Amino acid sequence: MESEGVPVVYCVLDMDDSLQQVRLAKSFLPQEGDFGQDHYTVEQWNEPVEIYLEEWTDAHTPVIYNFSRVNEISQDTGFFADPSFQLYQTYLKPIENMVYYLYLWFPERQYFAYASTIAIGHTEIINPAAIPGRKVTFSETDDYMIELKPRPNAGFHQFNFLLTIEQHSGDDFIQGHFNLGDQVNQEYDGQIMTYLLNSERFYTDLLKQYDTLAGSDYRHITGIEFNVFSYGSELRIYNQLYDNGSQTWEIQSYSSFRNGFGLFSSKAKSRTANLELSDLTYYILTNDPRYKHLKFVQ
Amino acid sequence: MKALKYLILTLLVLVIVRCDGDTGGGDNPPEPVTTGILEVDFQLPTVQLPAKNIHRIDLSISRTTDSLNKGLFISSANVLDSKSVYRFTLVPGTYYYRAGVTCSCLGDSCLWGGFPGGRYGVRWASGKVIIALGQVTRDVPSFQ
Repeated sequence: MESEGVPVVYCVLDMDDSLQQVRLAKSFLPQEGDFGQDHYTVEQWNEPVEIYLEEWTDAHTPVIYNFSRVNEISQDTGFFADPSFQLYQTYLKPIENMVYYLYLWFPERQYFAYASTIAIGHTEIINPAAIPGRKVTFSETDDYMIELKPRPNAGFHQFNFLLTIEQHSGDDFIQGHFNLGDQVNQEYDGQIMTYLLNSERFYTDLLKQYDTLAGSDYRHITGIEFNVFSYGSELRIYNQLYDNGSQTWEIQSYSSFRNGFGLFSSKAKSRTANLELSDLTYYILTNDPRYKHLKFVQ
Repeated sequence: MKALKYLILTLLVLVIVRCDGDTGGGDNPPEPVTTGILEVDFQLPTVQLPAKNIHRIDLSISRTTDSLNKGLFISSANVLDSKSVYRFTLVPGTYYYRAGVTCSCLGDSCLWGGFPGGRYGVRWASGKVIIALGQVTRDVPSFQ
């Protein structure tokens, strides 16, 4: 098996999509203790494979979804980006709390690679809440308290405030986005999760992203929303190893697959739209000498 | 020669003891307190409506009532439904604050609960506080 290479499989079920993808490649595991490599070298999978997913709606008969190969999408973005991955797709809208088994059958090798996961649900965003009149303040005197209520089995959360900013120059304008966020790696415990987002970072990150505007040009914040991307417990472990600065070998040796390498998990996006920045935040942006040159208008 | 050695040793010990005894924090004296604290106990008004449908939406501070009305604040808290006490560190002086709550009940419940305009109408409370140096000034907004 070592000389043939091992299958590397990544599948993160998207709870908000009805099209699911499996990424498959081949890798040759480095020897234990070989810290010279900081990532796997993956190669194209060039053997026959049958991929299917079992959805256990009841204890007796699973619903089976078969994956088929797609060529039109190159796998160069998102988690586990590498153009060597081959993509397989199936139409399936995952159900929260459902147990899914993913099987890859390799007829030439006469074995299965398989993994299971419990699909997560959507994290409830308690704060920021889209309550008319409640506004978001970023000021040096008050950090922002984020309150989230995750669903069972979710353990890793990436969240951000996403601001839509128009940069007006004469009659033209360019629309862009500004992100302010962070991530939390926390095992599900049924509790409301709180996170204090440093307000000062709002201003320092703005300064990093935007330059001084000249003349009558100006910037206008046209929208602010808050997004949470939650992931299953498999990704929590994977990211925990990564965040703790574990040795490359330890990170690479975590896999939720049997007879293969990779991750099978799920993700869900929650969103609160139509948020507003407070008068104080606008006042700081438009009057403070440190940020005035960015030319934001209210 | 031996006496000289003892003398040097004694002087060394004295110097070490003197250095060890200097626990005053080096050359930096503690910074003088220049601020006081405003603690607002932002209790929700008592209304005959489900508590989960009453939300804090604003708690902002100005130096004058004019600024307060114009929305020119020196500080605004990110208010939460789950938190009632908010603290502000301020230089001594007179301040004015406003606190706002809204209602998200359906139908005309909010209107009869005293929220002007009904759903998502805002009830305001304001107050005047005097912040003293190094003191905690506590205030409770009173909704009419």
